[in-house]
Amino acid sequence: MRKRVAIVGAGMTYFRSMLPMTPQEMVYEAVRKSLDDCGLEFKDIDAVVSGSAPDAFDGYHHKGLVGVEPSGANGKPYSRVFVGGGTGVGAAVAGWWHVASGVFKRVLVVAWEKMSHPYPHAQPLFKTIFEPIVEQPLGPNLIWIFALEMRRYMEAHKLSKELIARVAVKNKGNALDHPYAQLGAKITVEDVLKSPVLVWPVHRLDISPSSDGAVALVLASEDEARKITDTPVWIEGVGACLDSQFWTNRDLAYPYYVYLAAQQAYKMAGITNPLKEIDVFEPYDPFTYKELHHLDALLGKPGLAPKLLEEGQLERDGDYPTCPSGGLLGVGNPIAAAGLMKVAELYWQLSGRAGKRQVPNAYVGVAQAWGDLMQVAQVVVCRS
Amino acid sequence: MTRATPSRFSPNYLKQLPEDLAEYVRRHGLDKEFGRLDSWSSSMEKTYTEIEEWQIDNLIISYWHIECMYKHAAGFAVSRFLEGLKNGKILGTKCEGCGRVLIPPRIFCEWCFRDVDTWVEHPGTGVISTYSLSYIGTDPRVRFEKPIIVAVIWFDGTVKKANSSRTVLHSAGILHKVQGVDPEKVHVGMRVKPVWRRPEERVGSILDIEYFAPLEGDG
Ligand SMILES: [Zn+2]
Repeated sequence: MRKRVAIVGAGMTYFRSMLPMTPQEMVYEAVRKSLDDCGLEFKDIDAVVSGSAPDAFDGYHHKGLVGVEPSGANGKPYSRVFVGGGTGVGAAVAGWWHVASGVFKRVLVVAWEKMSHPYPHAQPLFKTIFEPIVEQPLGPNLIWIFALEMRRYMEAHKLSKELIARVAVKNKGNALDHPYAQLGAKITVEDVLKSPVLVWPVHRLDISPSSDGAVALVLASEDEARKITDTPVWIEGVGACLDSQFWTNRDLAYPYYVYLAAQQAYKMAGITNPLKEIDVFEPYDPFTYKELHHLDALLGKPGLAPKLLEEGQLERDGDYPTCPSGGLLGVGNPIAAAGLMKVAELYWQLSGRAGKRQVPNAYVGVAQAWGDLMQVAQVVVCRS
Repeated sequence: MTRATPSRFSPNYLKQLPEDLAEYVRRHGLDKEFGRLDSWSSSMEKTYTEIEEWQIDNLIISYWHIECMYKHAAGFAVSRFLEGLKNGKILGTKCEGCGRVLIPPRIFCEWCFRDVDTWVEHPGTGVISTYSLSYIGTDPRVRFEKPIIVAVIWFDGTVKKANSSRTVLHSAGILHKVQGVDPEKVHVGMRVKPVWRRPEERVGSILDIEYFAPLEGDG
């Protein structure tokens, strides 16, 4: 019998292009705040699940270990989750496994990223995410895969750059209300279209900013959660799914693997109609089109998200508030931390602590992240 | 254990921190706008190739670099594929279970989870499944005058829908570059063929195909 699992506390650092702190210090700050948020101490925690993306960012191949000390994991089970960009939500999913299994009662989930280490630029590292024999010789950069997927998505639903640019306008605008955000801004569609083209159809303002930051959550079993807080947010469903590594053999127009992961989570949470039953959506938005691409799959209807965007339904006061946090495009994209920030946003939204970002009547939310070579989906459904 | 209530939560960043951390943050001006793009326009003005530098006085920074070299075994399937390229041939495997042609080739089918050992040769003609126009290379400090056209090529006659889903399909296909067409004129569905390097220049690499070019009458 699986146990019910609640989020009882959350904390995060600023997301900034460069933080003059070590990863350990960033982790400590986020963890300290998450424990303060629910009145717990290190000693109350039974196990720690951490998440951080490629070791190459740090040039240090024991990267997982930097999270041990500052999360108080000495003398406790500690593990690191890594599924590329999906890591942040994946860590929350793995944290859920720990508590739902009944093995642990109070588990800390922490994700961090320090992307400002590589000097002078992180792109040479990103080249190494491509297959080394038939892809790397072509001299790829990270943006290629996004541009290729975006173009295919635009073709499938006859989408314009103008429409997709509205995601950047919305999310950067939402981020103005996020106290930790790196790039909250009031911009226009024209600003996005006039920003430099890097790999067409991707312009600079279609991309989330690289960032440093850390986020921590405290998870607890039902009986513990009731002792700790009056406002637990329940993780009611989780899902995880992978597609083939041979991405040139797939149709990139629809992330079916995201749909499958969402269906797992919905089934567990008893959700049959996500459009009717979910109040807050936090799909992964490292690039503008990705929000729509992922929302299509979370709703199970290819091509629906762009229509909702066009109607203004994805705004914070619309019928389907999407990325009310400001998302990766606005809050920033410290890879693993950015994913966990989305789960933290559900906690803040559903417990009524989202301040100026608060979506009214928010009881059910879904957060999702995506990663590896366009193939990983991680989904969490929460309910207050 | 104290019970937390929403009133405990403070939106004031410095109040959330232990005092010594708050002090550190104040000392380095992090409570202000450091590392935040001060306005959206600053991100517009900056070129992608600019390198951001640490701007804090008296901060100690250490530099280091790692040098690693690798040699990868291409494996049974891809070695034969590369050998084929050297001879001007595009080789793939074919799964007798689901009938899919697998390019890049593998020796197992991930749909049927069975051995695959039937080899087929493909003429290399296909369509552009998707493409992009890259103004930057692997080193983002280099910006191209004219973009390179990057595309996923799907080989003719290899598209197959999965039984399990209306939206999942398979096609034998590879990532490569397209030339011989104006970037403005490339389109999804454009028919292309491989352009090979001269036999004496081929080394058994994906680059033995120099690029893909539009078929006569398309482009
Ligand atoms: Zn098969």
